[in-house]
Amino acid sequence: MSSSENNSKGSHRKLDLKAENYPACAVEALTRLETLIASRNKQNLVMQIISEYIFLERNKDGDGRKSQSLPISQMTLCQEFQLIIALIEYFSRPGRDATRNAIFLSLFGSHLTPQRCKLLSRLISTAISGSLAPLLSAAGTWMQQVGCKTPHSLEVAQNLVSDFILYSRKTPEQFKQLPMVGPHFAANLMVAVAELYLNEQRSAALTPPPDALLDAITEWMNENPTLCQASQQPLILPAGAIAMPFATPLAGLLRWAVLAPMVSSRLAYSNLHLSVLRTLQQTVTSGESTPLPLQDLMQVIKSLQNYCARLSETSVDPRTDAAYQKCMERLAQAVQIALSCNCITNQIQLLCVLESLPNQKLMDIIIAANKKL
Amino acid sequence: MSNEENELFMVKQAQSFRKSDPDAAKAWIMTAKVLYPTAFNVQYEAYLFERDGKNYEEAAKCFSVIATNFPNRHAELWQEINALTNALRTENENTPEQEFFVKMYKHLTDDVQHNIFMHTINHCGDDLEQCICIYILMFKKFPKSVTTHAPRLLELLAEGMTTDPDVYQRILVEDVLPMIQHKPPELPPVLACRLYTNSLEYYLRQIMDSETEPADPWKTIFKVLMLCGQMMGWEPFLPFSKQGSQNVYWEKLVDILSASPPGSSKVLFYATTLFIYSLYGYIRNCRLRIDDADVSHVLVEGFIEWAPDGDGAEDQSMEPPKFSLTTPNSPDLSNAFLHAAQCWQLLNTDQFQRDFSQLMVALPLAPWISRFLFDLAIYFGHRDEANKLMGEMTTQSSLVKSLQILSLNLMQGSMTLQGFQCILTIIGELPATNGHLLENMTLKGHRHMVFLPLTRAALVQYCTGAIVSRISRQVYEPNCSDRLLGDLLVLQQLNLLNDTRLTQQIFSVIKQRKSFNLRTLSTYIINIDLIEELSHIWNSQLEDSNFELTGSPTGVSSTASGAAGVPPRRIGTRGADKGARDEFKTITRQQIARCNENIITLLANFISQEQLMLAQHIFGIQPVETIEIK
Repeated sequence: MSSSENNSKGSHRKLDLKAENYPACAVEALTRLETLIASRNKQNLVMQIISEYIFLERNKDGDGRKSQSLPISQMTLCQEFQLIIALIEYFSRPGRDATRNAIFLSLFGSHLTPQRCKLLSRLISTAISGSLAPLLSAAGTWMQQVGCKTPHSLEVAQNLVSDFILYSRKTPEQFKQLPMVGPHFAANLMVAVAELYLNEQRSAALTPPPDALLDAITEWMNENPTLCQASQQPLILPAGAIAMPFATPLAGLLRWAVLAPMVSSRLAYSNLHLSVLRTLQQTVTSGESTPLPLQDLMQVIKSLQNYCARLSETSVDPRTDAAYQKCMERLAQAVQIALSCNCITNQIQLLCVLESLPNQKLMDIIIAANKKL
Repeated sequence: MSNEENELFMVKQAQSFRKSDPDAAKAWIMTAKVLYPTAFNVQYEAYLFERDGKNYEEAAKCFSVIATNFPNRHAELWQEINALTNALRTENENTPEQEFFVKMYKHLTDDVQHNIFMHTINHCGDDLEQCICIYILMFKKFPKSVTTHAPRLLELLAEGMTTDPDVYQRILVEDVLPMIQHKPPELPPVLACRLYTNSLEYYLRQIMDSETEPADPWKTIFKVLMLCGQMMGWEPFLPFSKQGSQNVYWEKLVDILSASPPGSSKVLFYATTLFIYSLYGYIRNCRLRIDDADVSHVLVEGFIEWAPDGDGAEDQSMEPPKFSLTTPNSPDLSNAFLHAAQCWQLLNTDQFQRDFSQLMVALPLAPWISRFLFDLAIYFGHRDEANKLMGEMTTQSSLVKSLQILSLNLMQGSMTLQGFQCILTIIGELPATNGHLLENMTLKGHRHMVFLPLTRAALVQYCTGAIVSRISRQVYEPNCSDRLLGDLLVLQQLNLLNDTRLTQQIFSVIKQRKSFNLRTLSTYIINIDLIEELSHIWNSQLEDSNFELTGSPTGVSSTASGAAGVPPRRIGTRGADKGARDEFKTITRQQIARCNENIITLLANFISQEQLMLAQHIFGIQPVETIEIK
C-alpha cells in the first residue's frame, strides 16, 4: 500500500471533516470509524482520524505522520468537555458491542498519551456517575485488554479512587452500585485497586486502602457473591482480536486481608477475608488459570518475612506478636480452603515456603494435614 | 496433636470470636469444615452459628449435612429435630425461635425433610401420640408418603382407640381420613371395619350432642363408609344425596345383599349405616316447628271407625298397619321409620344378628334405639313387648308416657281405668302450643298409626276421639241415657264433619224421645250446626205436644256442673209456655254468640269437669261417686 494512494483516499474522505467544526467533526469521525475499523488495512487511517479529528492532536513540528515524538493535543477544557459528551452519546447509542469495544480500544488502546489517559479517567468517572452500562462495559473490556495492573489501568483506578473516595465525603451511591451496572468493569477495577494498596512492591511502607474504599469493596463482595468471577465473562471483540487472560481480584484482596493486621485492626478486614474465602470456595477452577497464582501468594509471604525481620530487629518473637498471628491465621485459612478446591497449583512448593515462616498453630495444623495427603 | 484435639481447638477458636468478630469466627468454622468434614462437633458448631445468627438458609445447609451424615448418634441432633418437629406442628402460633425452625425447614431438601420424619417416628418408642402426630405431620408435608405409611398409622390409631377413644377417634376423623381419602390404602378387613365403627361412633356422638352437631354429618359418614369400603375392596355403596329417596338406598342394599355370601360384613356395614341413617331421619323428623316452638311427634294408635252395620269383628289381618296422613311431615316420618324397620329386621336375621348386636353395643345409640323399638312394638301391635319397653324408657315426660299408655289401651280395643287416668293427665298437662286439628285420625276398617304432634289441639282431639270411640256404640243400644247423648254431642263438636253418621244417629234418637234433657246445652254446646239442628227439632216438634226439650242441668246430675240447687227449668213445647219458649230462644242466642270460643279449651274443660260422668259412661259403673279417679 503506497502512501500516496492512502493519502488521496484519506484526503478525499477528510473533506467532510473539518477540525474547525469541533465537536461535530469528532462525532462525524466516530461514525466513519465504524466502517473503517472493520478492515485491517485501514488501521493507520483510523489512528490518523482519531488523532486529528477526535483528540485534535498536532505534532510539535506540525506533521503528525512522520514525527516519533508524542503528539500534543490542542484541546481546550471546553473541547475536552464537548468530546466527553460526544463519546458518551456515541457509546450510549444502540449498536453492536463488538464495534463499540473496537472503537473504544482504538481510542484508548495504543498511543495512550497522558492527555488521552486523563480524558479516559474523566470519561469513565462520568460513566460511573451516570450509571452508563454500555460505556462501562466497553471500559471493562479495555481494562482487560490493556491489563488491569498496567500503569494506565492503575492510573485510571487511582483517579477513580480520588474522584469517588478521597474527594467525596460520602461514597456516592453510583459507585456503590457499580457492580450491578458494570460487573465486568467493577471486577477489573478491583484487580487494579487491590494492586494500589498494602503492596510492598509499590511502596516501601504498607499503605492501607482508605476506609471508605475498603467498605465499598467489602460491600460489593457481600452483595454480589459472584462479582469476582465477572471478569471471566468472554469478551466481545472484533473478529480476529485476541482476548487477554482475565485476572481476578481475589489474590490482591487476600493480600489486603492477610497483611492488614500489621497496619490496621479494622473489623472490615475480617469481613473482606470471609468474602474472599467464600468466593474461593465457590470458584470453579478452569484448567488454564487459577484465582490464586503462586506468584501472588509469594508476594504476601515475602511481606510476612519482611515483617518478621523487622520484629526480630526489635527482638520481638513473631509467635507472641498478635498481628503476625492474625496474619498467619488468615493466610492459613485461605490456603486450606484454596487447597481444598484446587485453587493452588504448586502445592508442595507453597507448603515448603509456608513451613519456613515462624510458627503459627493453625498454619502448623494445615501444613501437617496437607503434607499427609 | 490428634485430629480430635485440632477439631476442638478450631471449634474453641470459632467460639471465642463469636461475639467480638463473627466474620472471623465464620472463617474458622469454614476452615474447620473443610479440614474435618466428618467431625460432628465441627459441623454442629457450624449449624449453631448459623442458627443463632438466624440465617435459616445457611442453617438449613448445615442441618442437612448433619442429618444426612450423623443420623441417630448425637443427643444434640435429636434436640434440634424435636424442636423442629414441634415447631412444625404448631405452625401458626410459634415463638420467634420456632419460627426460625419453620423457615429453616423450608430450605431443607425433600430427602432431608422426609428423613427427619422417618427418624423421629422410629425414635418415638412407646410414645404413641407423638408418633401419630409425626406421621400426620409427615403426611401433610409429604402427601406422597401417605400411600406407603397410611396402613401403619391406621394400625397405631386403632391401637390408641383401645386406651383413649376420644382423642384417637378425633384424630382419625378430623386429621387422618381427609388425608387418605383420595388414595385409600388397602387394609386388613378387621382393621378397616374397626376404623369405620370408630368413625361412626365419633360422628354419632357429635350428632347426639346436639350443640356440636356438624353441618352435614351424613354426607361425611357416607364418605367415610365409601373410603373404608375401598380399603377393603368392597363394591361401593351409593354416595350420599340429600334429595335422594331412601328407597334407592334400600334397593341398592337389596342388590348387594343378593350378590353377597350370607353374613358378609359388607352387607352388615352398609345395612347398619342405612339403619342408623333412617333412624336418624326418624328421630330428627319427630321434631317439627309449629307456631315457633319445637314440637315432638309421638307414634300412637289411630282410631277405627265403628259401624253398627259392620260385621262387628275387627279386622284381624296380619298385615302391618298403615300410617295416616295427619301432619305434613308424616310421610317423611313413616318412610324413615319403615326403612329403619326394614334394616332392623334384616340385621336381626341369623346371619347378622351376632355382629350387629356387637356393633349396637359399641355405638352410642341407646336413647334412639329404645324409642325406635317401642314404636316398632306399637307398630306391630306387640302389646306386651311395648309394655316391657315402656319401663325401659326413662327420658319420657309424663305427658308422652300417658299418651303412649292411652295409645296402648286403644290398641287393645278397650279402655282401662289407667287409660282414662291418662286422658285426665294429658288434659291437665296440655302444652302451650296450639297447633291444628288433624285429618284422618279415624279411618275405616284397618289398623293405622298416627304421628301425633304434642299440641293442644291434637292432644285434645286424641283424648276426645278416645272417649268417643269408647262410648259411641251405646248410642245404638236401647235406653241409652240423655246424659250420654248430650255428652257425645258436646264431644262431637270437635269432629262434626268427620263423623256425621254418629251425629245423625244421636239426633234421630233424640227425635224419637218424648222428652230430652240436654243439660250441657248452655255450658258446652256452641257449634252453630248443632244449635241449628236442635232449634229445628224443637220447632218441628212443636206440633207434637208430647216432646219436651230441657236445656238446663237437672238436679240429679248437677254435681259435676256445679249448678246444684237451681230449680230445674224446662223448655217445653207442651202447652203455650211462652216463658219457656222465650228462654230456649235466649239460650240459643246466647250459645250462638259463643260460637267463636276456643273449642279446644272448651272440650278440655268439659273432659276435666265432667270426668265423673264420662267415666260412668265408659265404665258403666253406678253410682258415679264411687269411682275414684285421681
